[in-house]
Amino acid sequence: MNNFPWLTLVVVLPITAGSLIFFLPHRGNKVIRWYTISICITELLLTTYAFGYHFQLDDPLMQLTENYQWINFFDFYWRLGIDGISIGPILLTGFITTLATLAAWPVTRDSLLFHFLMLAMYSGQIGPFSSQDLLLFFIMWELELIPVYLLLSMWGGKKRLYSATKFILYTAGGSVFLLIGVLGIGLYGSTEPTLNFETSANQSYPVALEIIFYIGFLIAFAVKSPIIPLHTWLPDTHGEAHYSTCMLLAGILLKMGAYGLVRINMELLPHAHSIFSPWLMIVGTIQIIYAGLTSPGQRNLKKRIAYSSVSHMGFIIIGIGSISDTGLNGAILQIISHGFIGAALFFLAGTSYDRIRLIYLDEMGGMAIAIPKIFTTFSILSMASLALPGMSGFVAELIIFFGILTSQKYLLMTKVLITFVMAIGMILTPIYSLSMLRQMFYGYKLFNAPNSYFFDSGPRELVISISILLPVIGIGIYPDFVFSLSVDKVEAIISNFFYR
Amino acid sequence: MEYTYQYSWIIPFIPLPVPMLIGAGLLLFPTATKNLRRMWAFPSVLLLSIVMIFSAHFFIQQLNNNSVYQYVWSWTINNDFSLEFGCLVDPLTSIMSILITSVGIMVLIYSDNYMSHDRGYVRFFAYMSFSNTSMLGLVTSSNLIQIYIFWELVGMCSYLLIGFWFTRPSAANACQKAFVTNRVGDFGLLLGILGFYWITGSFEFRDLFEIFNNLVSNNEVNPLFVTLCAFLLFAGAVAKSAQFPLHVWLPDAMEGPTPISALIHAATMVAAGIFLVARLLPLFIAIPYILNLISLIGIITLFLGATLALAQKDIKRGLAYSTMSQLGYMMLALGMGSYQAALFHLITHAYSKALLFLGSGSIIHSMEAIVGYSPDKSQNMVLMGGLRKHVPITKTSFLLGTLSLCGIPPLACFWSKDEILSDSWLYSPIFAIIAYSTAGLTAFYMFRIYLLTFEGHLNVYFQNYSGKKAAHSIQCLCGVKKDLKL
Repeated sequence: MNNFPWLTLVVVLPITAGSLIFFLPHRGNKVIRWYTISICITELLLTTYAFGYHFQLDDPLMQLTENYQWINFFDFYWRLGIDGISIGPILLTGFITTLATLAAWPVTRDSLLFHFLMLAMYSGQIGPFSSQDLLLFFIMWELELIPVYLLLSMWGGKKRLYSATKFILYTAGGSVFLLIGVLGIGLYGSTEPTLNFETSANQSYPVALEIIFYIGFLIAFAVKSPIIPLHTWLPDTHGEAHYSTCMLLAGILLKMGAYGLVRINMELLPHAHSIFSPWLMIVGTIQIIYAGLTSPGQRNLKKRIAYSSVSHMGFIIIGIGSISDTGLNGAILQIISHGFIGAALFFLAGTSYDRIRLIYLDEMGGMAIAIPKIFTTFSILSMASLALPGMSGFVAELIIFFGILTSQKYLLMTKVLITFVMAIGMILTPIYSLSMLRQMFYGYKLFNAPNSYFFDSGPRELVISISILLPVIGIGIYPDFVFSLSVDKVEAIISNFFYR
Repeated sequence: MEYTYQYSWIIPFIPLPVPMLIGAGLLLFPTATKNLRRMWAFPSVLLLSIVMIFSAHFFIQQLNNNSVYQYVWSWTINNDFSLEFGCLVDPLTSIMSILITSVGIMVLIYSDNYMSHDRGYVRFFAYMSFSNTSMLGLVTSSNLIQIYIFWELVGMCSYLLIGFWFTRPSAANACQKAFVTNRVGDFGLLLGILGFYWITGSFEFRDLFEIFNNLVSNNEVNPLFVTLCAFLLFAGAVAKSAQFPLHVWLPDAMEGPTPISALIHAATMVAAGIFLVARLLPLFIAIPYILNLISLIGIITLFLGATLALAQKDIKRGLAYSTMSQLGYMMLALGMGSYQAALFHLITHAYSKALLFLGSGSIIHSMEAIVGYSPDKSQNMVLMGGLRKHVPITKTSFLLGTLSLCGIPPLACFWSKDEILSDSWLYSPIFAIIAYSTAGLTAFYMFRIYLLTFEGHLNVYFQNYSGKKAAHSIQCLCGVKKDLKL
């Protein structure tokens, strides 16, 4: 049974099933929706089943590996596998994409194409997380750009073409560096190209070359993650995109950059990483503060949430830069936790936009009476985003703090400074998220609303918000859910830094 | 009786089902949940009474054999770090939990009536029960991380309760202000916790004190760094207990409904800062200068609060500044190292101030019928006067509270304040002079509030006037309770 190609099935199923969508009988949107959602759920169940029965938690090695030669003459393999780091993001992808499909219920324009693109995204997102071959990683990385670009450019606000172009320029620019890095590592040192992660992980390079590779990958992932100063595409894109696309962007695509940092920069290039990690820490700290200060100045609701995402991604970068067991565990937990929280916030912002049709925060107000359920869920998730204890964000950030503290690489003074500045971010978060709540919901009158009667969220929207809330609170109360996945692998990665 | 101690960890979880059920109910079946209305008040009071019996039981056991019980289980297990949850029962915990539950029960019974016509009645009980839960969690916690967790949860409850009437823009601003100001304190608290973790490698109180004292006696700590960390820890207490630089949120917090002001902003939550300093006193004693700083902050706050209270028109803001001043007394006492006096004053003040706030709630409710529902009017003392004739029971209980707070001998606050004042002579004459004169100011502003409200003639023309008397019996209960404390 273990030889069954579970991962190939998981990666290929959504896009294959998605292309069948065009052969469905044209009987309106309903068929398409139900078809898509059932594919998503099947996929999620399949993933869970495969991981539940064929994945050993205490084994830090690759599991469920598959290895088929694809292109003979330059050793290109279809090589898949998962380990403790990628299992979390893959499950997150399944979860968030399913919910995003459910959230996209109101989309009626070109719904055939839209749902196909959602399913294509599904494959494109699981692909990079599960590929064990550099070139395959790159191909998957690019594959997922196309549906995102189309989703951005066809559905969304007025300036969607501008923001989609900005997105594709940034990410394609980043991909060039990724390609350079991939080819560089692949072609280095031997006549045969080595694209396998596991063989590359054991290879060592001259320091200068390693630094060059590192910079290449860093730029690619910094665009995606985003790391300042390459973050400017993100607020524009999130401000314009349809909210189900935003859920995918905030929930999964940003995490791909962080995942790439761990998978390639930390695992394959440890020397360069230990040289660069202080800079990563500094950049991460600046990012937390900078985005936290920029966010309150945004009038656009979605842009404000987008900057809060940028600010939270800073914690991941710091966790990765701290080179300690605890810090990296925290970073992985933050990847998962922010995947939930960011997606949920964008979803709620989108649903409330659907109702009031106002983008700017200063025009809103007094919505709490009209839509109490959205108010409740929005409040809870804002609290989650400002790291209230009992929610996953708190555990992640607390553990990243410990990670810095226990890190053996840095001097006391640096640790104190970084911790201090990071903690200032803790004061900034409630300022923007609570003032967002206040401007949207508090107060008594809606001044500029075109109509004054709203529907509160129905069962579909409640299901989405509650199914995101449950894991957020669950992880917050019992974080070992996620740690048990990642602990062993993290230990294996970190040990590289100390025993070489 | 190790047997009952084993179940002490359940204390904070007993009131938890109420907010969970109400929250789920409001989200999923809003109309059904709202229709139950008064039914929700009963389980919250019942569960809290169970906790009170529990904690009274522990208290009696503490009196008998003075043992400290600690129970720990692990939360996350990892190779380098493990976080643990625990439950620590010692005299401080048991007395605090009695305080929280008894005031909590009184306030819940009171607010059943006070809020009965409010749209958010059910929501109110959910918030209240949740704040009791987190407050109980705070006092029973056995390590700093747990303290921090419940500390934040209490802050969130305060945020929700201040912003309870969310349609008022002033309430919206006030709740955000309270949360952000408290977050400044939490920032310090978290950094302080991390700093002490770095020094000692432990979060558990007892291990922490032990390791730290060993380090100090071996001279292995950097005094500057330690003082900084202790200062940061203290910053958390400063924000929560509305001490001098971070006191700005407390007067604004009076935007919330009055029962909340009685429970959270007079009796329990603001006492959390005092509780934290009291809990960590063994740590602070070992560090130079920090106790002096604590007493300095205390003396500034008590003087500032009293002088600000002199000139308030709003009855609740006046009481809020008076709370701040009394909290300053407690901080001063802690800074002087007289732990018992501080806690004694904390308890006596909590009962007196809860009584005063509940009384003022009754007055506000009565005034609303005449002057309208705007807090600018119904809480304005300028418009009150001569209420003695109309709400005699409220008047009696309010007078009792006033007398107690001023320190008139047979009442509770006399004993505690007397202890603090006499200790302050031994500490520093200058501080003692300020503290003594502020005690005079206390009498002045409290009687100003009392006289403006109850004596003289009503300044607003009124007709068809009826006071809300249903709540008075509760106040009497509260008053009696206070006298029993002697």
